[in-house]
Amino acid sequence: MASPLPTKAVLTANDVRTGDIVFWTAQHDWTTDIKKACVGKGAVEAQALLDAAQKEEGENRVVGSYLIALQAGDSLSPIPLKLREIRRLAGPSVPFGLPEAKAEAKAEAKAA
Amino acid sequence: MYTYDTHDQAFVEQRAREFRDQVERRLNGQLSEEEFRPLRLQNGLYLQLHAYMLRIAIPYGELNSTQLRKLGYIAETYDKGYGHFTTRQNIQFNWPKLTDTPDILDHLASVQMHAIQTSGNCIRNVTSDPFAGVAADEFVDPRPVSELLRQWSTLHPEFAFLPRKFKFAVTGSAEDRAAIKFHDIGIWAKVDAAGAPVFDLYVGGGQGRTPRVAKLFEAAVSLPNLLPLLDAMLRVYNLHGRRDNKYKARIKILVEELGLEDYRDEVRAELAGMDIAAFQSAVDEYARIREQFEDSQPAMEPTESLDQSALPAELQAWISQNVAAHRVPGWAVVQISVKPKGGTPGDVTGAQMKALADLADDFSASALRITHRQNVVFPYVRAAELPELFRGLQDIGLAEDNIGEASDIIACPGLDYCGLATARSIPVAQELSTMLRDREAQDALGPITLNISGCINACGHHHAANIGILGLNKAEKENYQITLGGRSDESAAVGEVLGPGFDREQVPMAIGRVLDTYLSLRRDADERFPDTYARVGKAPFKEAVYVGA
Repeated sequence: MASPLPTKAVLTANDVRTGDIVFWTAQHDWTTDIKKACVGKGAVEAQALLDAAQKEEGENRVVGSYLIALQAGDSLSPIPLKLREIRRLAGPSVPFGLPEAKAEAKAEAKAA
Repeated sequence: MYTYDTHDQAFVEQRAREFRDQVERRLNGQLSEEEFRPLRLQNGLYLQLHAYMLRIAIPYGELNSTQLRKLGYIAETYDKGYGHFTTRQNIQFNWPKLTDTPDILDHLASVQMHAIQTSGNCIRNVTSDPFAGVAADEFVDPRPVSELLRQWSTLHPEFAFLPRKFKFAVTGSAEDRAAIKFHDIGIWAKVDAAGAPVFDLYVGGGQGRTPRVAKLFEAAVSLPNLLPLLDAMLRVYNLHGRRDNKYKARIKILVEELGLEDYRDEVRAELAGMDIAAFQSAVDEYARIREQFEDSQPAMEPTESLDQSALPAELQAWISQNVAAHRVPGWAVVQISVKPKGGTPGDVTGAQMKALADLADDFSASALRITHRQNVVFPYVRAAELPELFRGLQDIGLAEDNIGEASDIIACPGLDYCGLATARSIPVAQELSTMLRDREAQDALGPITLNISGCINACGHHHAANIGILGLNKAEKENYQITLGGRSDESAAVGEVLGPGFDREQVPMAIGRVLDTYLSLRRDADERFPDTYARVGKAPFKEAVYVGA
């Protein structure tokens, strides 16, 4: 039996060419910034997102699409409900590679 | 090492061309993802938590410097500047673009490498002893039979779609450094009274959600009988292995459900109906392969060992911890730790790969190995050159003197990278290695294995560790279960769950108490952790860890 549709969700996938994580926008395009994602509320909007996913996958723009259930509330930045999605959104929690990469990551974080 | 013949080379080049065509068809819409997925997986390309991931085969963990330099080039050109050595002695790149993978496979083919059968329900990369050919306690070099298995299993038409993935490991020494009893089939090569190689076969080992230690299937199998018997073992598994439930599809479940005796009877019946003559060329091929390995070994004349008395303390400590006995006096097997204090186990930058390749050229006849403990081995080092090699390793941040210690942690990528993981492994390993390196400086803990997996699939080999940590998702919070008493050597055992799991912040405290308990209960400094645990049992550890936790 299919899982019930989440009451609040965004559509995510990976860009088929680059593998980048992407989110579906209200402008019917993909973005790498979840803040720009179209938030579907209720079963009808969630189903519309899934319909868009099917079309986009069929046109080979993305791969592995699914809905991410979001926490309730009106946060400016959508916050996933599940640990897996929180981690996926955040990216690796460790610096890439060994010492020099670690130093670069620290420098980047400082600059940001 | 084994060098490709024209057939091998043509094969990997052909496969790279095929994959380029498949990617082009995927991108122009001729192939759907459903059609493309099995094709990319057969070439080691996964879609992981954040991006594509390419797993590259390193057969039995053996590399030359040219190959490692190429991996460094790939890391810097097509990835984010680093790669990750895995517990199957492979390397993974975490961020390749699909559009770049055909070029990456061409680069790999140019140095006799590929990514074939690093995924899917087929026979995976054969793993082996990283000291193969140079170990002081070796009966038989396990590499020739490992290479024979690679050739036999590559695109084997009957075994391309097994009920589930299938893993071989081979060792040929008194000490099992290849964890053969945690494999679907483990092979222990020995010699008979006449000096000919014979093989003890173990079957039904594995980790995951049902960890099992492999059972002895047959001892002293002769070389001519080896491949026919393995073929029959796989055929019976292919026929009877469960395909209705992937959690019960490994051969360990079949062996358990049938019983070892009935499985053995089935295999013998299968063997009786097979055309054994078809396998006779394997004996000649084994001889050809073995000759290649022998011819490619550098000339190693016995020489004087290194006088360590005048060496700096840090160099003495590194030699004592990281250098293993070589079969030739005056030579050294150098283990290079990829477990720096607070670092990511098994991660190496492209620059480090290139520098390691240069050091292998200078000090190890251009040869190196990747270990299932995610470290690197230089097999052919003159003891007299250890000081110079140590300085070279210091320059690239790979001179940690912790091989075999608790801080030499195995960790899978966990929820930082893996789409299947339920919790993170790497930050736990980083915190623990920081805590443990400080502790190892004070206490003589001795050799201890500590392994971390980020889910029940157990890629981090937690079941097989003296101290295992399994990351789980408990009500959307990371939670870590501790197991004790596992070991992957010739006395292989599955660790026991200590009790309820811990929040991540509590893990260092819990591990600290486990170590305190071991130190207080061990008979003497020579009694190793799993032996103390087997003698005293779980109760004192449980009491120490949970009181006040």
